[in-house]
Amino acid sequence: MSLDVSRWTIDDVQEALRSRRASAQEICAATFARIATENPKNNSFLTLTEERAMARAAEIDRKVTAGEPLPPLAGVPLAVKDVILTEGIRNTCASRILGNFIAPYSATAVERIEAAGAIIVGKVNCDEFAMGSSNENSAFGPVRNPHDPERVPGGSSGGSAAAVAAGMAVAALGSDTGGSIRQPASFCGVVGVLPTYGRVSRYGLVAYASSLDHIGPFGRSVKDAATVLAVIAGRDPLDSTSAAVPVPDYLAALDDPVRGFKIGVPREYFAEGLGSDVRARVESGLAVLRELGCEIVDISLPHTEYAIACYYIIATAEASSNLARYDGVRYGYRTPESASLSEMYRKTRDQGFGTEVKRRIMLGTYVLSAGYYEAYYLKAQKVRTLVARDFSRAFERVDAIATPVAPSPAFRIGEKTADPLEMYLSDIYTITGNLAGIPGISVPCGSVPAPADGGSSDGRKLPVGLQLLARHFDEARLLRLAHQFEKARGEV
Amino acid sequence: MGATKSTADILEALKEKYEPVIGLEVHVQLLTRSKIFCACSTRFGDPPNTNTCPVCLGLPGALPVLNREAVAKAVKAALALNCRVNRLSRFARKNYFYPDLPKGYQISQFDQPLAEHGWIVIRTGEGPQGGIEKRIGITRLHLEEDAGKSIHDGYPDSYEKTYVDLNRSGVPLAEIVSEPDLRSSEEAYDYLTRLKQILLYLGVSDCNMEEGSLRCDANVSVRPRGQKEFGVKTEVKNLNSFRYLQRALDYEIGRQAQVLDGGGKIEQETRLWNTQTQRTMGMRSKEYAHDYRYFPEPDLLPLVVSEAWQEEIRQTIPELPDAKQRRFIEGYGLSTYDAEVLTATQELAGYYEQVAGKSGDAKLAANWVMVELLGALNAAGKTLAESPVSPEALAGLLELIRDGTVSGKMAKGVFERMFAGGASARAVVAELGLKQITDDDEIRRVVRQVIAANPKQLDQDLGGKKSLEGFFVGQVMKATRGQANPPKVNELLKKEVERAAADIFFTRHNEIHSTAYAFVRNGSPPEPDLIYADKAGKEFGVEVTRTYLNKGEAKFLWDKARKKQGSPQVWTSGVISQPDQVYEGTLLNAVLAKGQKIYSGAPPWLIVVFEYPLGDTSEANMIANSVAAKLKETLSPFAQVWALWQVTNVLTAQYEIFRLT
Repeated sequence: MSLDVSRWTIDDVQEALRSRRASAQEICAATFARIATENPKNNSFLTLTEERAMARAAEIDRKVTAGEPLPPLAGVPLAVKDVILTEGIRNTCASRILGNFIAPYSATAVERIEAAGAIIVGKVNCDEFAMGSSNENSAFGPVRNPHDPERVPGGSSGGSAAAVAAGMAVAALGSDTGGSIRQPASFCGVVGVLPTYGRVSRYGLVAYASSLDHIGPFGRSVKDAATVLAVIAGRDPLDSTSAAVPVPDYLAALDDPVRGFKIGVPREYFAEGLGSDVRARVESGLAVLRELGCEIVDISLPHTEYAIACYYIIATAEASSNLARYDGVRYGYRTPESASLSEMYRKTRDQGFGTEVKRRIMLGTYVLSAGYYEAYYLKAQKVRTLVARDFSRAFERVDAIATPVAPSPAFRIGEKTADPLEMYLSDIYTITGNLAGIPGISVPCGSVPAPADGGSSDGRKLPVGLQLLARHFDEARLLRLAHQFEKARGEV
Repeated sequence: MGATKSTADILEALKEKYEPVIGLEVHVQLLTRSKIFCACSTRFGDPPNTNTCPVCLGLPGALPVLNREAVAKAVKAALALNCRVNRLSRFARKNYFYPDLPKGYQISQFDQPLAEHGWIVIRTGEGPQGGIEKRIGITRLHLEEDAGKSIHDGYPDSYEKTYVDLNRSGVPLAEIVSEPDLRSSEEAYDYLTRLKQILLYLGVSDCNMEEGSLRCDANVSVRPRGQKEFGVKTEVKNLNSFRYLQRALDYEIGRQAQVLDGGGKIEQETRLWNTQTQRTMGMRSKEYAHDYRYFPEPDLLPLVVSEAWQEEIRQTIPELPDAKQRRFIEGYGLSTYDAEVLTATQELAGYYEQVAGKSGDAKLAANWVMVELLGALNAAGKTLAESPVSPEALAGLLELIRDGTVSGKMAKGVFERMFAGGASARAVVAELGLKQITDDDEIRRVVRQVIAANPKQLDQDLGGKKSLEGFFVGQVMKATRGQANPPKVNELLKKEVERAAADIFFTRHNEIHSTAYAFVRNGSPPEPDLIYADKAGKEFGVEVTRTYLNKGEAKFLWDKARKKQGSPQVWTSGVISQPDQVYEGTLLNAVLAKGQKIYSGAPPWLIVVFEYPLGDTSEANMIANSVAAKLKETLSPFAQVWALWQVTNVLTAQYEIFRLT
């Protein structure tokens, strides 16, 4: 009797609806049943929207019954990262300061997936204001990796990745400012896409670092991720930085051959710091690409070593300004006791923000301050230009770039919290994509044995992703390559 | 008060010693329907927080989208202010915390502003041409969004709460920064006035200071006159009226000069003008020391203003005040002052031009618009747009003046009625039965009646004690209900007084010389003015003239003769000590002055009304004889020349006549 949708793809949902094998309401109910058993284990969801979801599912069922054409995400249970606003639903950004904030409007991406028939089942956990790489910086507790509850799911979109990996949603929306989609996708063994900057509207995405923030999809397959991306991509008049570049039909081209593609492998990404197990998996992934007829080419991205420093200057500078609005005046948390305006500001922000957020606000404030601006912010912008130039030069020679997603598989909860710098280094391979604004994808590339790192090691396997990067607005090629990699690897 | 006065004296002395250097930062609200980064209305006065949306409330996730119209208006202003508009400019975030700043930063422009390097010409100071012209540099013009408004009072719980209205948040502003080219509070005032005028002409802002759509901060320093380097400056804020601007600057200039003069140093700081205390007060600088941490706004693309767009906008710039004034001076022949008044606003200039064009008399139109129309509007508290008298209607009235239907004086009455009731000039004239009397015979008839009815006044006039011309004119206008043409009245009054004098003369002549000369008719040039005839009907011409004395001089002589000379006034002309010589001179001159004219027919008689209110008959006779002796040697076009003199110191007027040739 009980329907198990935990491994379903979008195609499965669509097929079930069309064949009347299952109704949208049944699929939705099954999803919430799954959430009821799984979520307590991994703490992915911060807010569940069951009533609203069921009502929307009923609406889809009405369409099915009426024989109306079904939109591309009809009845698809979908989780949304709690930094992407959904009208009428609490949006916390996993922060105490927005603990009581009900979104008065929906993000453009949310409007688009809902218009495409998706059923939002809830808002998922993340690092506070998307600042983090492990989902441990949440005011509502860490998310646990579905593959090992003692390990992190990655971050900042840890809840999105874990929800998809644990079968609590078919797909999810996340955001990626410095690896925040690709790294958790890798840690949780799902697909995560970083679209080109400007490809998906940021309207309604709570800003962390405006020039680096991207909304992107998670799915259990490249095809599902592509389906969601096709829905959310495209120019939005409400986001001045969204591009008026046409959105090609990603799905139509997924199976076109990739033979002859030149894949660049940047030597800087395989240097010191990359775990040997991960390296081995990624190299086996490169072998798969070779088998698909791709040519693997050694390339150099010489400014990679400056990327982390550059990122933590630009991102924190923008964050210090973007987060200034959380001052307790209009909405969100306000300290219960203060004797003056400045005390109200200080206490509200001190009590409302977590440690990592405060650290980044202070860093950002510092690098923008009079006397330091040139040395830090302006210099970082120049480095950013150089990093971007590394990529554009590489793309003169290659069609895509393949790299590891992270130096290691999912690490243990608490393992890196004491050392922010080491935590920052876990994003070393993904941050460059944000600095350059190019599209990237993390696609599962097998697993490695859980390292014997002090905790219980019962022979568990941990997933590892392969990162593919492409030219600006060349998501079609990226998805096609990833899709065929996914298929070929499955056959291996 | 004594202390204040001495302070004023000290300040005056300091003003001599120190030169102020002022630059203004002016914020103007751009007249767009929606806000600069969202679609909310910019309407003023709506209930608090009703014109808001996620963007201008600074809600999480909201993003700005630039309003093209705001850019167009700013570019228009920049071009009119002779700025160079940058093809590429950039928005930047200005970060600071304040409850009415919802995002915690203001989107502004910083190191890459929209426009730079402009200037305007102001007219400043006193002078016959309305002051001297001075060019004031404009450093930059940039776009930014306004913040909301903190409301500290007006609510029952205002003693413990401040409310915030975000209707104004995101309203588009242009900040216009001047060079430190202003050298007095008056120049600052003149600059702001001219800037406002240009912006109003452009229609880019309503520049309403009460509603906050024009705001001004000033950078002020002083330096010893002659010194090249600028002094340390302070920034004076809260100058939200023209009056406060000048007062605050004067205060701050005086304060700085006093500090420097006392050997002190000026601290670079922000000072607030307090309208209550009429002082500028330093803001505690540590607390308010802002590091705005500007950086490029990542949510907006660089702003590109193409050459083509600039050109398109340039085409929409109307004729500006400077050019209009020049055209009014050159085209309409107006004075600089009149041109300045009439170009104060575009509406007034337009109104004037319509009146001038339709009435065909630019100067008359200028006078009527400036004096009558503006006066009436001012008195009624109305704006030009509310004027009950349209340009066409006013032009209609001026036409009636020009064609003589109504006199200027009558027209004023007509205008009052038009202003009160909105009727046309012709309708008012018809309604009142007004029509100017221009017919000579008619006016002459009234003048004669008036003279006949007022013999005493005629005697006073002829006696030379005082002129009663004004009295007679008044009587005539009264009798005609103001409808007599005033120049005609003046002309005919003079003639009829002369005629009356001639009648008096011949009455006396007939008595003494047993003649029977009588008035026949008025002569028509080149005939003499009056034609008389003897008993046999033989006609001869008569001209009448009068001796004229400077009235002040006459009064002096009169008082002197009556030993009333208490006045400290001293005449310096040498002859004045000899009054009779003065009077003799006036009589002789009167005769000689008439001797230049040629008359048709037989030589006429000349009668001179001799105004000599001092001496007795024998003295008057002596003067007459003395003049007669002098006239013997001169050629004269007259058959006979007589003086008619009113005997002094008798109760009823009597006249004596003396033959001069």
